[in-house]
Amino acid sequence: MMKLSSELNIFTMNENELIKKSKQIEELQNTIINLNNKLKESESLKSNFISNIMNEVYNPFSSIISMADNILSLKDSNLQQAIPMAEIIYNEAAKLDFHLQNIFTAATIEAGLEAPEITSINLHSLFDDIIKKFQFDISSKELNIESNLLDLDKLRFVSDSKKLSLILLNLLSNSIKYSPEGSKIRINFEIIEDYLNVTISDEGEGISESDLENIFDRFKRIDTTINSVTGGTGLGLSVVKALIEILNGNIKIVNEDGTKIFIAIPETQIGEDDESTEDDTIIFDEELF
Amino acid sequence: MNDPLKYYLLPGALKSSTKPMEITTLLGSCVSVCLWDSRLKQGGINHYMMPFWNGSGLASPKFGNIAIEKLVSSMIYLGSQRNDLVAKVFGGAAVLNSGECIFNIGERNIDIQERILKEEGIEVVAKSLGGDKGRKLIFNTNTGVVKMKFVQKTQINMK
Repeated sequence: MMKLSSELNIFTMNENELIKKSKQIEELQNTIINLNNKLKESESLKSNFISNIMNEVYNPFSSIISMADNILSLKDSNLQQAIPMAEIIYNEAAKLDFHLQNIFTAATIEAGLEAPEITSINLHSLFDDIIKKFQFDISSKELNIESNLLDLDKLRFVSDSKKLSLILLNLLSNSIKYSPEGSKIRINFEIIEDYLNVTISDEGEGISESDLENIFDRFKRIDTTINSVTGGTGLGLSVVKALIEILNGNIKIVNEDGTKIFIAIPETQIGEDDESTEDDTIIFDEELF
Repeated sequence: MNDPLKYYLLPGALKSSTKPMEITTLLGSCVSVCLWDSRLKQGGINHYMMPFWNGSGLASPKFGNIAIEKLVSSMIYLGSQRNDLVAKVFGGAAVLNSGECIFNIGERNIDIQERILKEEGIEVVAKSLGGDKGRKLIFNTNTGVVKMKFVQKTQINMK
């Protein structure tokens, strides 16, 4: 701002310059107004977050405890009944694990401590693990998940497996959450010029234009009405965006007969070395000052 | 004495350490603030890409106002006292070629560190800011010494 005022010597400016500067001031003013609104919204979203998180953590925990208790009280002759209960425990624990991963990842990113851990990933087993975590929801909503993964020539991709997995978990979780019963979710993978492109399309209602603008904000949930059945911490897409940035990728969300999400992640090149020499190095030593 | 551990700092991250470390980072329009504690011989560095967090996405150290405050907090968490901290600041080049726009990102990144470090009462003992070339830094957290060389735009994969 100080810089701006020093550049605004109006006595030496011609009309065009003045118009230009006044436009820039207007732009700055709008930025401040938007920022103020964002801050206000952020405060209220933060308080919602606390109550959301209580539901998302407490509910699976209560189910796990009560199901485990039921299994413990089964008689030897009824042990068969333990299987569906164990399935519920797995499903609830997977949900809990997913929410905790989002919360801890958001905290590590905000602390500036998140860094890529690069390995060679088998996309097939990564995707299988993801689908397994949502199997219960997929079956109970009778969703049809279509993927072209097996058609890919190359199934190995060098990147950060944990981050890629959390990105896909969040995107698929959203698609499952907002898909009508009996509908189809299509997940298309392709590797072009060292980029992994994934497109996830669902047949849900799509996202309103106003929600699309701030969909990556933390604690933001699209449906926050009292009757909302979708749940969630509101951290998912902000975590996705930040992880994709760490991997130098891109994400785009559009409405097209439902919601369509595109992500593109470049393959990490291992062993990139720099050949810097010491001769043109400037040394900033404490003793020099 | 053992060689210091090597660490590569990515944009949007920060690192502080009580153990001797050599932290390397590459800067274009981004800015790094290196804080060094002359009493405890420990230091920390950030690498921010934009001046202010505008409420979008996560409040990460990708943004100057968050990155500097978090760096100061992390040094205090490691036992440093504010009075013992000195800063060296680098980066903020006009590598994005933003034309005549006065809201040049590099310049704004430079402004924010000036303002916040002043507010925090931390003295800047060395700096290399602005210009049109990127910079490669190696910060030794034990000695506080920063080695810097200018690099060409093409060497920096900046957004």
